[in-house]
Amino acid sequence: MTDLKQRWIPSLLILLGALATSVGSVAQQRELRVISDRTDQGTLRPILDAFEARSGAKVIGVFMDQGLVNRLESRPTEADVVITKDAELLDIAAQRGLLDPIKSAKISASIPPEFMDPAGRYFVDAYRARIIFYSRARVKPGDLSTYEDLAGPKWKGRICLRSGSHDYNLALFGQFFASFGADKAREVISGIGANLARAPKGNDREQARAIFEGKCDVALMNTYYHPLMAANAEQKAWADAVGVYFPSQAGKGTFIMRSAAGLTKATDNRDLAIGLLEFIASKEGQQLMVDRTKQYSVLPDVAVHPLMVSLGAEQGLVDGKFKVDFVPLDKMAGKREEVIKFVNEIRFDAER
Amino acid sequence: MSASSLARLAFAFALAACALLPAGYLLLTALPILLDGGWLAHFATTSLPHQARTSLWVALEASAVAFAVGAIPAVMVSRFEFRGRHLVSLLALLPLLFAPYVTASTWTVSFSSAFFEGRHALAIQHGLTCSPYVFIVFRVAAARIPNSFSELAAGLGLGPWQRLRRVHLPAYAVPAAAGLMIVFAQAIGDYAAAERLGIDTLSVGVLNLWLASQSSSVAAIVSVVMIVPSVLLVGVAAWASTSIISRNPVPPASAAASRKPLAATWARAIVAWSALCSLAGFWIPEALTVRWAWLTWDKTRFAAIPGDMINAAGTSLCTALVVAVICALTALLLRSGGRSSLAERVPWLFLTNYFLPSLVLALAFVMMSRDGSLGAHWLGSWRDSRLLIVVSEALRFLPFAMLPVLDALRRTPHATIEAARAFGAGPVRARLVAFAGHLWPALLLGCALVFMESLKELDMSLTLQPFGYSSPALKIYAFSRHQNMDRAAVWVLISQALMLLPLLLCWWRMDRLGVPRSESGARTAAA
Repeated sequence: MTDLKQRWIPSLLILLGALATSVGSVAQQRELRVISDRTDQGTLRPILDAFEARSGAKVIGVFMDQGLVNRLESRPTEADVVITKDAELLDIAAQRGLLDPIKSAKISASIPPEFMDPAGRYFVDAYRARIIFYSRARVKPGDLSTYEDLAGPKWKGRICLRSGSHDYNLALFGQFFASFGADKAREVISGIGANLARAPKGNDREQARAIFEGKCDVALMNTYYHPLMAANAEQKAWADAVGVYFPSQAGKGTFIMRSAAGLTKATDNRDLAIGLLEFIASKEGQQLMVDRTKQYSVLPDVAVHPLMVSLGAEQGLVDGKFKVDFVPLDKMAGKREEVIKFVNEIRFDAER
Repeated sequence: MSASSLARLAFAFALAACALLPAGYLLLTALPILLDGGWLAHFATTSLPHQARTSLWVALEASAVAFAVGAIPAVMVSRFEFRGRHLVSLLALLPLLFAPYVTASTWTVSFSSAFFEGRHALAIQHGLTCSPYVFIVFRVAAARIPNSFSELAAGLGLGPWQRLRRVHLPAYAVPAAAGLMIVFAQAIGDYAAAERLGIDTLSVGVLNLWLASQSSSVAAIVSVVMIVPSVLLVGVAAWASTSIISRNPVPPASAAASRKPLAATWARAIVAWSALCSLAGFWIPEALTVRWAWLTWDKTRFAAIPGDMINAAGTSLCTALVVAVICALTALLLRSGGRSSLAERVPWLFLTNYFLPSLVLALAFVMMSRDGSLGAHWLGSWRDSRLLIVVSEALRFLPFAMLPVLDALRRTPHATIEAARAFGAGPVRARLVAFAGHLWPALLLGCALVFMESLKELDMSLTLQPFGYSSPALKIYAFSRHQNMDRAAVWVLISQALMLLPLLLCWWRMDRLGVPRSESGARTAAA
């Protein structure tokens, strides 16, 4: 009995060691490592599955939508490829020296130059527009015009928005700064903040739900949420309650959000990594991207998704095509910090 | 100084270093660049005062809820005998099965009233989440306070209000302080639930600045505003717990022996109150979760379930084991019984990690294990395993086991160890025997709580996950980001299934508290 009791400590340590040892997995086949701020369950997996089927390699990932650049900065070679829903993050990573140039003739040939990093360290793999979703019941398309207009008094207490510190809004506001100039951008952001119906909260879909529930009349959201909500039984009513409006079509155009892919400093699987990037940039990969994410392809010959074609028809857009106020990412460099501080300064996210 | 004293001192320093490693690292990183970029001044002069005030209000409201839901039933269960006592204990512990961000998502997806998205809803959420801990703390404390104190005061002519003020309130000062610490740490450190509801709290402010800037330096700088008060508060708590609060040598049995019968009306009232509170804290979100899981059953990827369950259970078990080993070493190496400031104060420092938002803690580990760092060098290939999740979770949740262990240590007279040694037992065996009554049950309860918290934990799994890692918490997060709580429901139920055994263990322990040994033995014999 005494022996039994005295053996518990070593037994415990052995158990601990055995459990910890089970942690590591034994590599059986070639593995490509991807780090992304997308979720494994969602839009990325079918693309990775298709690449696995084509290459015979296994793609394993770290999927984290918080602190992606920090992790990459801490471990620059743990992943081979980085894929993000916000190209601005890849631009930050590139500026911090975390990406290698992509040397691929296929990618250079297929990706239009405006969607390629000038230094070739990443490319935009798809984009969506950040547009106005409005209540079909309470707002007419003719009431809407530009982003700047949303800062006007007629929208007082009628706008819903997610946090001003979220990547999507930081990217949008950064484009305000680049396109409008700092003073005008500050005025517009402050005006939109003052017109919010409630404290910024939730994600984009929750803004559509708030419109459906009558809490507000307009929201700024990404285009793909309309077809994604329409395809979800629980959220279809939200999609049916809102119309979409591409702002500033009579002026400089609508701002877009870009997703992107790049190559890390890791070199062990460079051929596989470039293979995945080439697949993403190929027509087949782009078609998968459009089908799964309902974004717009960067390749001109990949058509707009059928569910996106009708967006904007109420304001006279044809085939879902719209005018883009294109702000190159390198022109937004340095704007992010200014935007973050400004959003905090005006207490954009405060309770109302 | 003897060799054993030196060993104790070295161990105490090692414990302190472990406890303060993440906060110390962030502080050291931040100090040289504290004024760079004007981030600290910017934060302090813009949103910080408002966010700190909001956090404080949320924490105060949450405390009121947690005490109403947890402390009242705990005292009643400890002090009175009534029909439904066991049920009240179970109902009080059930909210442990839900992570606050899951319930926050469940409520907001299911109900559209503005109330469910507001500050008060967040406070209620945190209050309900912490109520099981308040229940446990008060249950343990109340089981040790004999009725004879109150009877003595009544005998001396003190009225009910005077007895409340002069006997009961001072007696419950310790559990009240401990309960407040837990609720404040949870409410102030939480990010996921507050961000979900759009409440601009301090942790939301700190983390938004970090996540927006994607800069470790900015994160370290703004984290200072949370680290410094946390360390100070924990220091004061450690000092107060060991210097002001007197040790209560009264064994639980004497309190239990004097448990009074409760009038039927009051008994029904307390059962009804517990049932009502558990509706909001457990039954309604649980019913919604079960319904969603049923509706989306056909969309579930069943093939992923066994792997995720093994992953989650393995990580949580390792976390609990690490915590158990640290607590056991603390008990064995630091002096038990009589006053020892090292033994009693140093382990309190682990509480600092509970006060920090878990994302900040995770960031510290990301930074400490960066390429080329000593951490990366020492860890080698282990850095790319779940070891970092286990270690960071162990540091964060260690107080749940460590503080009960310290309490048990205080109640184990050193003379017991000396007597065992006199009878020929070796130093380790003497301690094992001496601690058997108080320490092991406390350690078991603490490790069960750590296991459950580790299963629910999200931020550290998200930030420190190795390649190919998956768990129910990550799945729940992935689905809830898109309002697909229906798809998340199966994973919520899976994590609850894993928590069932430790929950039952806690219930059994709470139920058994205060039962005199003879009665307990008789029950066992009858069984």
